[in-house]
Amino acid sequence: MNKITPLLFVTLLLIPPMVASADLQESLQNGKKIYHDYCSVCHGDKGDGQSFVRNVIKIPPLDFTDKKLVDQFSVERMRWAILLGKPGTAMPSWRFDLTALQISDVITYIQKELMGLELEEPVSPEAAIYK
Amino acid sequence: MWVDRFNPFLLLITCLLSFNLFAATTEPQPQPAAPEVFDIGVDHVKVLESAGSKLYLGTSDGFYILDILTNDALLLDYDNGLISKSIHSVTQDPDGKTLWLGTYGGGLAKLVMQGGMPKTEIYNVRHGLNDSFVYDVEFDKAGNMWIGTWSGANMVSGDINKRANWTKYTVENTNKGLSDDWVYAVEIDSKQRIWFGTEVGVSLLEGEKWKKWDHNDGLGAGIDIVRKDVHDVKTALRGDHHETQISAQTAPGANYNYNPNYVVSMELGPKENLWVGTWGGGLSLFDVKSETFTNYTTRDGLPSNFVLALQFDKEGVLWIGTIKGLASFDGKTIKQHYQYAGLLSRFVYSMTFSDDGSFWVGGRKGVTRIPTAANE
Repeated sequence: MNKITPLLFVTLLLIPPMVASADLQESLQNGKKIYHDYCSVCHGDKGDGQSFVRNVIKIPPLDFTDKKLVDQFSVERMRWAILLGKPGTAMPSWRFDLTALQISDVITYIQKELMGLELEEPVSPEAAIYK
Repeated sequence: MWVDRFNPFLLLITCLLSFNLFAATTEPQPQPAAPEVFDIGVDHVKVLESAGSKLYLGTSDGFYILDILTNDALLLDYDNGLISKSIHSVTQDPDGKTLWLGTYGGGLAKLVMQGGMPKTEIYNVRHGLNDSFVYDVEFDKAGNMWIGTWSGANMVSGDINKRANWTKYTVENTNKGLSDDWVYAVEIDSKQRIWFGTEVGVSLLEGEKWKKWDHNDGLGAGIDIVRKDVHDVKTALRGDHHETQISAQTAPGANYNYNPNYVVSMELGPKENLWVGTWGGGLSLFDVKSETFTNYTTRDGLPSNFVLALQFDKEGVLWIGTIKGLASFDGKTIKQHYQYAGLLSRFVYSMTFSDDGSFWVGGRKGVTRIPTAANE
């Protein structure tokens, strides 16, 4: 037993990160599909805002890859924009089309894959805006 | 008579003011014998609608209202509440006072003119619209509004401001009754059946029953017939956003430059047969009774097999806009007209007839007014 205990301890230490990683992967996968179904037509496949629609809408779609804007794209701000839209712009409200989990998944995808932020866990669907 | 191009910059700063397209023309002029060209500097004129003395132009750079008697024009764009300046459809509400604009990325715009000024309201996803990309709007006899979008179709019955009055139709919720979620055209026949033109064929909604047809049923000419006329048009008109749809195609040989399932234009004829303009597959006539297609291509006299616009005149002649000019079809013979001369471009995106007998043709850059007699 004495020989096994340290091994068990190490194994237990490894489990939480592995679970988080699986959650993150699942969230990224879901988020990618949602992004391409709902967002990429305006924000572009690469999230850089380069799309057909760019030249004909009042305010061009945001460029998620612009490092200067990273600070502006907080999770809560993105959640609000997706949920309620941006009045006076082409950004519609997706409140009736996307669930809290779907919104958090797409934010996870945008932040990690398009903005290049380090994420160890997916964005939580829990938020004050829903309460 | 060629006219001076009016300055887009001038338009921007005077967009709320009426102005005259012809600086020297303030009185209505006798009908000229030759086409008049209005080069307004837009990328393209996607839609033309006539209403009495008014001509509505849906363009890539805003919505124009032209008084065809005085040539005064009003340009509506962002400053007038539009979110997108690319207008894909213009529909007159049965109430006679309201215009509905389908926009590219900016939702559905409701325009009510009040004392010469427009009051604009935008309807978008939060109201119940499937998608902010709107391609066509039609009204049935009961006053229901049918909308084609890039994410399926909508039907609005009653107060448009109540979300419960919006019904969605998608490939998924119709159990694939709707051929595709990319709905470009809506037509309603006298039996109040709803026809949808999509990127993967034609669908029909009759009551609650769906039917659909595609290239396997005869829509669009086969690649063997049109192969020599298939050329690279992707760079001119299409974009990468169509790539995802190619995998859904049922037609052999379908690619970006040939897709007989892609309904680019659609019009119900006087006998209520359905005419369909396809992407490289020519013009298709769907006999509604026998449910069979007859296809017309360059072999039959079309200028091109890429058919962008269809419009019947009051004699029942079908006018056909293609990427290589204009043609007409009287049911027997296809004739080519003004393939280049008189038109601003080879691309004919839109057509309409106004009450004064003029035939209006929209293309790249602007619109051409052709006196009807000059068509012969």
